[in-house]
Amino acid sequence: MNNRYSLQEIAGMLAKKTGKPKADSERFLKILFSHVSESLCENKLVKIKGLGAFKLVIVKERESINVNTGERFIIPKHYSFLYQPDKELRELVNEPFSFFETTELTGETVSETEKTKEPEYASGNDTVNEKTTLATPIKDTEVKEEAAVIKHAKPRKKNLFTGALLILTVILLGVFIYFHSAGFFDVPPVEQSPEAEVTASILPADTSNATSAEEPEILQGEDLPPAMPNSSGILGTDTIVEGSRLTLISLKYYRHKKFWVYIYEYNREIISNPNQINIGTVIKIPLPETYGIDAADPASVEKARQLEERIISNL
Amino acid sequence: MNHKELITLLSKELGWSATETSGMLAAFTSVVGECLTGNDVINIKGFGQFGIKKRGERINVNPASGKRYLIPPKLVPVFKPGASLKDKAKNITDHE
Repeated sequence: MNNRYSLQEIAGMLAKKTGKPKADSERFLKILFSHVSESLCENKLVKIKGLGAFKLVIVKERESINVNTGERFIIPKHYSFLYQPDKELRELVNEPFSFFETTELTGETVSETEKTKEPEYASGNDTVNEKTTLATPIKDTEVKEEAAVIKHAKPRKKNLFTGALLILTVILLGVFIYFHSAGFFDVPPVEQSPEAEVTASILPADTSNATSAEEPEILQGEDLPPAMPNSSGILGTDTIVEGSRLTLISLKYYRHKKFWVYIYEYNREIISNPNQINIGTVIKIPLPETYGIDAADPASVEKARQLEERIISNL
Repeated sequence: MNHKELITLLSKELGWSATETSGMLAAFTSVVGECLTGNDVINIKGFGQFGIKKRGERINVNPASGKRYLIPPKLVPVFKPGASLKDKAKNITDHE
């Protein structure tokens, strides 16, 4: 095993095999190789039955860059050796592995890797669904999902074998996220940018002005009697908890996120900044008729959207 | 140069008959095969080195049908040209 045989040793084996004197077989081999290498240089091709074909192939000149100096230089046209083993020899050498056969891969291997991915998918889906119904921060899901993707990607990338599968699944995940996030973008969450927070901390003194400036305008537009904070015409009350969003409360009561503005309007006295509501605050949900809220009516939604824009620009 | 031409050339040089030479060559190839199957390396000074290498298994995809195939690992004979043979190739000036 793993011996290195020289020409002399091969000649000895050859002599044993053919029964010729060792000197003869050595001479034969020397002449053989000198001829082969000579004619290889002359004809670029030597074929020996049972051994294979030796070839000289032209490598075209090409440009390269010296890695140390960064200089460009040209690698001149040269010859390169090519050895193509004979079929017999190839089969002989490959004997230990000859029982292997090329097999067509069915979905099995795919599902195998997919299986490990499945729980992630499922959990991702669940969190998204919870998000829309149970009022948990939306941005978190996206981050979570992205983290999940990265988590997936890193260890698997090392595995060259499942590289193709990985790319496929990552693309799938990407598409998955894309669709879901596209859904999110349609419904803008209450903006929670740091800017808004900063202005909010400055604002408190101004809020009363903003409120007084805005309120009549809306009421005129809607032709409604001024909302009475303590009127009995409320749909119910809701307590702000960690992760609550006016939009989500609106979704819960009015089946549309846009109508959060009316909840905000109705609770102006309690809520100074819709982005920062103290936890534990009990807000009143006005009756939909008070503001003409109708999730099925595009005009009503549009009105709410305009009001939302005004409120956000006033913040 | 093919096998026949090589044998005639060798037999002329050696002064042996063609059958003798071809028998010798066949014996040589079988010796090489034996050595390689034993995972040995044959190093011939001035010519090169014969050995075997393992090629790992891999997945192949037929681009036309999209079917995926698992190509099993295999052992292949390899030849590494020696320094003097490379030198000879370098000194070839008659390109084409």
